[in-house]
Amino acid sequence: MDPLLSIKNLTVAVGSKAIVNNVSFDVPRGKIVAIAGASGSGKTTIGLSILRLLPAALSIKQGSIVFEGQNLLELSAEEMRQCRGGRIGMVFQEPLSAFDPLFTIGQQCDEVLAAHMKLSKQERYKKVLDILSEVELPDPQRAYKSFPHQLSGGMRQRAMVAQALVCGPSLIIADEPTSSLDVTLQVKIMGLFARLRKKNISILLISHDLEMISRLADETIVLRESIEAFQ
Amino acid sequence: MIKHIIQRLCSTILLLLAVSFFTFWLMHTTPGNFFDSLRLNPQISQDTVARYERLYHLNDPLLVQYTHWIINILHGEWGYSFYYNVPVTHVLGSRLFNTFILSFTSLLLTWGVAIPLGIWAALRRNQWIDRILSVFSFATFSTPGFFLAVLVLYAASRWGALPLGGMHSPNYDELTVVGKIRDTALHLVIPASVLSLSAMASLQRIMRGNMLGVLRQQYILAARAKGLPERVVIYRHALRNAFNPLVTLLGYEFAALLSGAALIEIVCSWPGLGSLLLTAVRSKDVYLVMSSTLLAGVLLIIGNVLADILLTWVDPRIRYEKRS
Amino acid sequence: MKKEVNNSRTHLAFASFRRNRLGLLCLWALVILYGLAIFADFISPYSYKDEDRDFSYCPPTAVEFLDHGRWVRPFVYHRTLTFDAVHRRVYVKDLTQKYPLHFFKGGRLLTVDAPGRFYLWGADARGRDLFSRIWYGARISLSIGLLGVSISFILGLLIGGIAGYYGGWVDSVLMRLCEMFMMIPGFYLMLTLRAAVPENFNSVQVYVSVVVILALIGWASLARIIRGMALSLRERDFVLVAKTLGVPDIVIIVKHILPQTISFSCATLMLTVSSYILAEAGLSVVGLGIQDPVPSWGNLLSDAMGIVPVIFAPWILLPGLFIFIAVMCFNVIGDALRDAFDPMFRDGGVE
Repeated sequence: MDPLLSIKNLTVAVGSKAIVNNVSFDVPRGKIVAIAGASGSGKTTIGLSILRLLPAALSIKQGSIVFEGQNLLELSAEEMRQCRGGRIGMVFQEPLSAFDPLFTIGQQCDEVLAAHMKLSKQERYKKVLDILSEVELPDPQRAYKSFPHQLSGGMRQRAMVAQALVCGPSLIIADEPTSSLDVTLQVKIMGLFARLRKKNISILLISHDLEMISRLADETIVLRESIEAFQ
Repeated sequence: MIKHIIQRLCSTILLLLAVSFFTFWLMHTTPGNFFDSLRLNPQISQDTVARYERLYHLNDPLLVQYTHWIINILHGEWGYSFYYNVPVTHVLGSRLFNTFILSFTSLLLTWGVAIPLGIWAALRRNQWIDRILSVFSFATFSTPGFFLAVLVLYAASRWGALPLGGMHSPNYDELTVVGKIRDTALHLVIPASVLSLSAMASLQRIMRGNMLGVLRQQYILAARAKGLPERVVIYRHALRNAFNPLVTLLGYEFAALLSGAALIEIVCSWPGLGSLLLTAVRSKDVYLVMSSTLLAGVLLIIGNVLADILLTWVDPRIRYEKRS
Repeated sequence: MKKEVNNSRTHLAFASFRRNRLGLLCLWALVILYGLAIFADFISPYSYKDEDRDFSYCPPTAVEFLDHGRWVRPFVYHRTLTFDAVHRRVYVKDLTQKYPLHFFKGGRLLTVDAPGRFYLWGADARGRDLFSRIWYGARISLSIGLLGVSISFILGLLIGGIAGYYGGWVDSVLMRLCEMFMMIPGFYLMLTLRAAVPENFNSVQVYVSVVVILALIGWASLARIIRGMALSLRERDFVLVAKTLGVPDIVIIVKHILPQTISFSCATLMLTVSSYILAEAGLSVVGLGIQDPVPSWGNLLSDAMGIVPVIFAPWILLPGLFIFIAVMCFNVIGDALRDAFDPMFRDGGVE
């Protein structure tokens, strides 16, 4: 069976300096693949490259990123936009800064749905509540109406996972999802990811936490100085 | 939120009292008793002079005089204008309204133009439009308001389409209601736009700066990663976050506007509080001076409190200070 | 050891400023302006009081270099006043009377003999030379700003420094005082203070009064900024060290905290000077600042306030241009200094 995501010979550089150098790996369906490495080794850059959200200074020099049979690098801007959030979701490291402080959690999940699916307001509301309870937020309705700063760190991170899941993507890119949480919360998020895997959602886990990787990941790619050291 | 507002109101009232006392003390330390010259003025009856002497307890210590002045003010007795020969309240009311119209229109104009321009400049950073706006902002910011007013009036006198000063045309009273509004609006064009021009400059720079800062934030990247259309990212998320801090500026804007308006009023002959104060100062019309300054302070306070309320309403982080 | 750290940071900032070409350009422009103002006596053909009503609103007199096609020593023609069909003033060149330009005569760079008049930039309503009055006016307008800022700065340093250093109720009281001053809109405060000045002051006393008034409208915001800096500075290690060594508070404030605040307040100071120049101009233009015949750029413009003179004598707007240049230069320098002291901007990235 074809892998969900297949990256081949990816090279991302700033000018002449390579941040990601000739990296290749696959992410099968329903598996958790981890990218490990020290800070600055290019892990986050790979994640951003998949979504084609690199900062202006960086550019993809070569390579292909094939997702569900399509080379993402060849898609138009509009097609790529539909892919983001709709088919690939992203979870960021620090949920407080990844949420817009001026809008409620519910509003921010709702707008993802509105951008990708044609549903009525009622349908969207129900779907958001469903996903909020699926990530095990204790009081989904209250969470819906809350602003990001009103939730605790653990709940915020779960809300962010919910936001990434709401459109039913097949791949989640998680960039250091637990590094801002304490140990008990880390365990909870890991449990959440394991449940997602059972639902056949793949997770690309970017982390420097080797212990978490060893417990969760089916496969691991280690980057050393931007070069793939071993799989 | 209510508690916060009440706290603010209390401290500002205290400040207002301090300001009024300061103004009062200042007026009365001027060498030469104002009332001496009044007594010598044949146009003012001795009864009036005696009445005001009684009312203001002019022979008592300063603090007593001040207390009586404050009490009188609260009773609606704001003093007598010896230049206009009417009680101060008769003159203040309409002038206050005129200044308010001018300031408010300028505020709308400033914010209505500067915010979009700031956004535009941020989205087109370092391209030619950004640079031109930058230079233009700097130039208007450095030009004296009254000088700009003169230049504009000169240009308008050549062009001939706009009235050159004052607030109403000679035939104002004969116009219909719509005609009156239109007439006032035409007279408002020059003073309001000159007043707005320099305020626009700094506001546009600030908006641009805020916008650039916000666009670097993580939640903008997250919004794009969610697949939101760029339009939504910019105008829903970036804009609101860039705009919020500016609400605190509203209070200061109002102060600057009131201040700048005074001089523009004088140059454009707009009958407002500022030109009133000028006349009062020139003629040493004590109670008019004090009342105008006090009123300006009150306006400012109201503006600040409104801006405060607006900020708490608009920023949920301040509105909901407790975490659940 | 601590002194070196301070200096290197300041040195870095000033080095960065030196690289800003626009800032340097404006700095030189100001040096030239101030230099010319100081030498106003020398470069001006006339004193600021020298009037000749026969030449009211005379246009700029052209310097002639050719006489009947031959190169001669520069001279000006006499101007006679006539009125045209609609009774407007017209100045006609009188080709029979020539007045050669004298160089370095009577302690002035350029003069002509009486009754000839040399108006490089035109004359005002009373026939006074605008060029001369602008440069004498420069002395007033440019100095008032600097003096006013000095006083504001000293006031701000004292009050802000003490408030920030001691904190607590001292801080609260002093900050309330500042808020009180900031609460009255600037122009209103200026006029009110001006109303308290007696009418019979001579020009020197009026000058001093205007300086004091300007200082009083701006000290409060300076004090707040300095207080903020003092608040953060007093937590620094070198202050704690000095305290444990038993150094008295006032010495700590003066020797350690204030020098640092000065370098960071440079930018604000420049911007304050520019606002004071504008404020003085505003005050003088309505007749409440420097009084005639003493010129300041502001009161030179009061003629122009009634639009009519501008229409047939547009040169009376020139002082406005100078105000603009001076204010612009101070603003640019202030901006450049602010960017130079901002680490993120200076090093082109995050510190």
